[in-house]
Amino acid sequence: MLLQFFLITLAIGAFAFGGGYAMIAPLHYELVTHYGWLTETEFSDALAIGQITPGPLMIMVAFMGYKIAGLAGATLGTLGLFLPSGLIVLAIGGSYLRFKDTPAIKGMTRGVALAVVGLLAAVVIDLARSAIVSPVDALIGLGAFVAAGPLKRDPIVALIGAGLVGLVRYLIAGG
Amino acid sequence: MARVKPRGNDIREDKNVSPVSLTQLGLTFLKIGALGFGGPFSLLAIMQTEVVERRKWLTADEFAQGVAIGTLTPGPIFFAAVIFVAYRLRGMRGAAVCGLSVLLPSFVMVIILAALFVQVESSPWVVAISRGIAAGVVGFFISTVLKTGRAVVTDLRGAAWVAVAFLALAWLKVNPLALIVAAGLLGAWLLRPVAPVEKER
Repeated sequence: MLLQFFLITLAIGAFAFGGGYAMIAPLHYELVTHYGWLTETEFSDALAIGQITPGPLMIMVAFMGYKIAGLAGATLGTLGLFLPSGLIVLAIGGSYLRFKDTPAIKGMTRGVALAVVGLLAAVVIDLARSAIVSPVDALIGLGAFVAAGPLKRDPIVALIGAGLVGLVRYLIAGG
Repeated sequence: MARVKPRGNDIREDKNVSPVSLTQLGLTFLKIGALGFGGPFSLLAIMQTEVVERRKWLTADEFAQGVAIGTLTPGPIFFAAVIFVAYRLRGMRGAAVCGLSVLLPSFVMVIILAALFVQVESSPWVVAISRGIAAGVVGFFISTVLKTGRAVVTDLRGAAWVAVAFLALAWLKVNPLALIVAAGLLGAWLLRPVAPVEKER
């Protein structure tokens, strides 16, 4: 399982063009949908932790790896996701720069960027299906949306706020 | 001596500029990794402040090249830009030192959080917080999808690409990694600018 997890992150690290957001759908597909190593909620937890810690969002793979296979999973997952990107920059960085304005590369970048938006939307639907099960959930989601979107608040504030509302709801309803 | 443009695959800094020590590089990127909150763009902005404005290790143009590489290579744009900058300044060893030191602070924090989380995850309080966060993540990512969508969808054809990718994953359950590679290959063919690329005058 550890090796399989490492190979999955390595493949995503090597082929998920289009920035960190491009890695979300492939990680969700493999770890939640395909292998079932993580639940939708655990995937959301990982996204939230990646967002509230400094550094790139994709460090969330350390959380996923830890849940799946402990410290070794966290370490190998992080290596798998980031190493290919670093090696590719070192190997072909200079020559890439010379081609970056060619029509084919521009078309490629655009095609990937558009696809990533659609893929991210599909993941959000899966997450919503498990997370939004009551009117209060919908209100929390709406609150986070308004805070991060129109109000331009720090996502950390939006996510911690959502967690606190969840806690308050439990204390009122269950306590 | 004037700076020369890097040739071929060599993206290293030329030798006539005083070298930065590996320790200094490592510490700087440790700081960027520890204090760089926010999304990809705020991370890049923080890094630019450190390496371009404050320390003047690179010009803004050189930094922009790093960002351009990041948008073309797989993986987080920020991380690719870190490797590019570090390699230019101190070659292979610089890239290794900075790649590790920029990830180290958040890696340690995530591990600590994950270890704590595993201890308490069945507590009803944590379950309740986690449920709230899951709902918040949905709202936050809807706003992310809309923001990135608004930035890249400029015409009907673009909207169609987004819709096809969405349906292929949500409905047909096609492997998204394959979809990304296919979108890149098809994009190179179908979405390349038809008019000749404008040349600098």
